[in-house]
Amino acid sequence: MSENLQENDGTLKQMDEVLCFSRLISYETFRNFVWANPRATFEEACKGTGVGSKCTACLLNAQEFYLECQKNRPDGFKGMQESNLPSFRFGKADLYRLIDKFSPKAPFLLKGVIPTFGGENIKTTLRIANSVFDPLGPKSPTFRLEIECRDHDGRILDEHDLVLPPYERFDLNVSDQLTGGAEGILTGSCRVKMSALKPGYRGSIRPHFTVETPCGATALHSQGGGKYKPNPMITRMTNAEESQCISLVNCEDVRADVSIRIHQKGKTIEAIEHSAAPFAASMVEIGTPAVRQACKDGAVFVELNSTARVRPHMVVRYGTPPRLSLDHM
Amino acid sequence: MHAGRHGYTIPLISLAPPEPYALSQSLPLDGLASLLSVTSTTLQVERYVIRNGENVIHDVSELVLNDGKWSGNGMDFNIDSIDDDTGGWATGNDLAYLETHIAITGEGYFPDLVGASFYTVYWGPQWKTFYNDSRLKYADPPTIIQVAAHAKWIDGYPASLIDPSTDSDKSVVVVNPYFAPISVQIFLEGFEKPTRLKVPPQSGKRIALSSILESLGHSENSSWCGQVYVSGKNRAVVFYADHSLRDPSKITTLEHGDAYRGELTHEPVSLRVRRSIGDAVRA
Repeated sequence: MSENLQENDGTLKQMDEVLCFSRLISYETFRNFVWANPRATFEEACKGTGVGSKCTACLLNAQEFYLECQKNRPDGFKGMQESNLPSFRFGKADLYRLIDKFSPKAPFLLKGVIPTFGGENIKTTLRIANSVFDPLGPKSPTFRLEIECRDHDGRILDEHDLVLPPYERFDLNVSDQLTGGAEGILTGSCRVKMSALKPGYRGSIRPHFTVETPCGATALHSQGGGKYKPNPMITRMTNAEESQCISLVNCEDVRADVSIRIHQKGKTIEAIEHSAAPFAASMVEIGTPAVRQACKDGAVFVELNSTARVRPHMVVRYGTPPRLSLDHM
Repeated sequence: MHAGRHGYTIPLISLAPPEPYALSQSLPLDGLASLLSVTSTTLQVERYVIRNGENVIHDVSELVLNDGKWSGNGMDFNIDSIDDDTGGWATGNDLAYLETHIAITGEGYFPDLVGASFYTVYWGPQWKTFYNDSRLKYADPPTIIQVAAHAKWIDGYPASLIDPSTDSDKSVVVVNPYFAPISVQIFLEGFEKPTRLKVPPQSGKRIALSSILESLGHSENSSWCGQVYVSGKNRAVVFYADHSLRDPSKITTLEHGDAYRGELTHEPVSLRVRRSIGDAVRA
């Protein structure tokens, strides 16, 4: 790319003066627009100048610069003449925006599912933090949390209903009540529903969980919904002391028939069928001799298809007592 | 948010394999095919392993899609660690990272800038396997929304656990894939004073929370659990690694952070009604 770029109005700019490379719009042009239109929102400034409308890579920089321009606008700035300014047409989107501005607000219902693990030397803790970033101050409101813990068969073990104000966190041991499972680990699941008691920002409220053993800890965030066809997961197994399983939580009130296909370069190495009762939590070992042999040549892919929505995780156990990790698929 | 006609997808950043691990990356070809506007085209896959501003490895390969069938050598990428005595995971300085670029060199386009998401796997015959969910190099939607809402970039992890009794430690891994140096501040729940970390251009650094806690006067024999925040004037790509306290090379997991979200907790009822009507009509 040449050091001097020609902006759309014919003037030449140095590379470091350019804000939007896709449209070749300079910082100066964007700044002049914001100063000439002090009531324009960031979206309107982008729409009026064309910044960020092609590859969007500059949007973060443009956003910061927009805020700076707003703060540093000189009094009495005249800038572009009225006749040169792009005209705003009041369209359907603007009408909806006006209606939404005065409409009452309703909270989103945020949902998350986590697998839980227990047994000898394994402890799972659900952790929900309504943390505050001190330089910003509290931006998230108080949330209502509804938590439901189930065992490996999908039966309800425990329920909680509480509120979590800013600055507070809620930690819950969810493995003590587990009774059944597979592959030497007790399994279960937790469902969390959250809604804010008044409008604000979501902040750090997303539920996380930690799984601890005598040899270490792992942490992961919850995910909502469940999928019929999760993304394929790459893996490799070259260590005899390691086992790899898929943890499956059935998110629905119907039986889930799950097909697991492990393949390498399009060739199926292993095909495993598994059935999960409604809301059940189970583990399926995937480190078969055929898979381990294939891993000597390279990575393999693990793909799932399910007749009901499931939340799967890749579980890796190493050593005894195990170091254990989870990754969502 | 990133809809249009694009000849490439936003580059992805992963950590290069720390010593003594190896790295394997395989592109999810079915997922990639579903993102393209055509069933036949050619793609160029470029992978850079960058350390301290230098392209240590630059791999260029091709993928050919012909009527829905893939060929070419761009799918797989395998490398060993390039850590050495001068830097890497052990010292926490001069970490290398992997940058993956996918661009169309033939017909068609990507309707969305955000491409197929995929993991990278780290493995070894004597070590525990772990995975890395790659991060967008730029134009990350949660970051854009966050800066719009809070005028700040804030990454973090709410469930950070340090426990000597279970040999548990956590490291903040900051990758700076950009051309200017960046400075971040690391805040730990319960402590007022942040820790500053400067990361040179096109480089990475790792800092263990146990060492931060020690510098803040926390007893090295007691555990700590809480929120970590990482913030700075410019966005960095941040990962959080759970590993052994005694031996940081024993990595349990490598996870992405959780932004301090700028998404709203409420929405206008009128918008919800319109969306329900739209969903019902589409169904």
